[in-house]
Amino acid sequence: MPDRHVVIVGGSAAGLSTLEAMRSAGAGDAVTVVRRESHLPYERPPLSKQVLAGSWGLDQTLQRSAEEIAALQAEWRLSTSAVSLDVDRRVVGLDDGTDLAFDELVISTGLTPRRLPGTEGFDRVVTLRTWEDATALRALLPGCDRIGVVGAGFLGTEVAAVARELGCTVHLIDMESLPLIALGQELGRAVEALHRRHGTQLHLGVGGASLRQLGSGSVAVELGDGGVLTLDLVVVAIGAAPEVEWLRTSGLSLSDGVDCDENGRARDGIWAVGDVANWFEPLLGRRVRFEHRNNASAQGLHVAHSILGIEPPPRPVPYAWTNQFDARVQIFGHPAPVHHVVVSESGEGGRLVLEYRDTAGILRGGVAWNLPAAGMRIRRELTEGSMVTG
Amino acid sequence: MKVTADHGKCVGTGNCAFAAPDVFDQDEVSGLVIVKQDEPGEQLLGAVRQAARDCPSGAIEIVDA
Repeated sequence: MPDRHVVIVGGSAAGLSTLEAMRSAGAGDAVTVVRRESHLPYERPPLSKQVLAGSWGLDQTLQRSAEEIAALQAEWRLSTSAVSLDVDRRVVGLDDGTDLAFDELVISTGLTPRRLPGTEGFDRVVTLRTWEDATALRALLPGCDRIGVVGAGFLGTEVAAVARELGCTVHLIDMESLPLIALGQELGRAVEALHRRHGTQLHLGVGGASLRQLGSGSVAVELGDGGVLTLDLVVVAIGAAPEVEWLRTSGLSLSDGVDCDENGRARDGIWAVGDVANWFEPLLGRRVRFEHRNNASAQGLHVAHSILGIEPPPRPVPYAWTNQFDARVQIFGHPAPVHHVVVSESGEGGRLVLEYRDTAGILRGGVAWNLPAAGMRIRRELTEGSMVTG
Repeated sequence: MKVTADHGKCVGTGNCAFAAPDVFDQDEVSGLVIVKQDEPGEQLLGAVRQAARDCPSGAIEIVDA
């Protein structure tokens, strides 16, 4: 196959994984990476954990050294955004006014955090997604005693835990009745108990938080139950939207991110990987989008092989983790509240194992809480199961 | 081949122990990486490379491979 021009838009974990897997497989294609951020790829999971806590510098989150990046022989167009895609002409339009022609396109533009309406311009209401966000938040934290976190998902509970460990008064607010509710009540109750034990003030099941900037560096949060909190800083962690604005006129199907087949193909020669990618999942019989770090690497590898015409390895069982306070929680597979959740181990030291089974009794997902060996067992069982049924 | 794991970088995902269970394990309490054999045979090179690639914090290093 003659050398082609491969364009990767969005060079974070998923884009980098694609590039590295192409080079590992011996691909000589010219590759251009278009990256909105000004930094080389860095890990996002530590931003809400080690970086926020101050135990890691931002440099420690860099995925690769400058030398390793150079060895991959790609052209990196940093601080550059794609603004349009012409599928027929096979051209990506860039915000510097130039067009970039491609033979193969890999879309990995990730997510943009959702904001609370009406809080634009509030300097004490922040989101956390990028290196700049983490820098800004870390600079603000030392002067803040009273922190609010809106949204009790992974990011919100992690930020709340770090802020508590830094000695702040922390109010964690969510309209749902439990944290991490998407993974069912059993895990939600365990995370709720963990936070209560560590002094997080929980405001659960209270929708309609509305925020007012008070000047003098504070924010009033009116809760749906009538309560009002006066806070020094509010971190909004209510999820993030796939970054697909630049694709609106492309004709690609964008039901939730970029719709793809089970190999990450959106159109011939157009692929999507990582948080933005909505791959068909044969195990579930529908498309699913994962906002998890491991998924970014796995999809990058898969698409790199597909581009090169190599049979990709079997796709790994989904895996995510969260670390908060003394809890190291591993989540595998496709756990969902509709499953029958079996608490198979619940012992001393806040340990917990949850197995999520479907109506036929088949294991679909699992959670291991401070029990890595149990996590490994679940991961192996799910891997074997996906090979049989997938 | 020599294998090292940096506890200062390890975040305890267990990706390495899953990719190369003969070479890596996880501490039951901390979840951090345990190197079971730091000079694994060449037949494990593929698995160890996979483990290093799968580590989200670059904690695993392979030398003389």
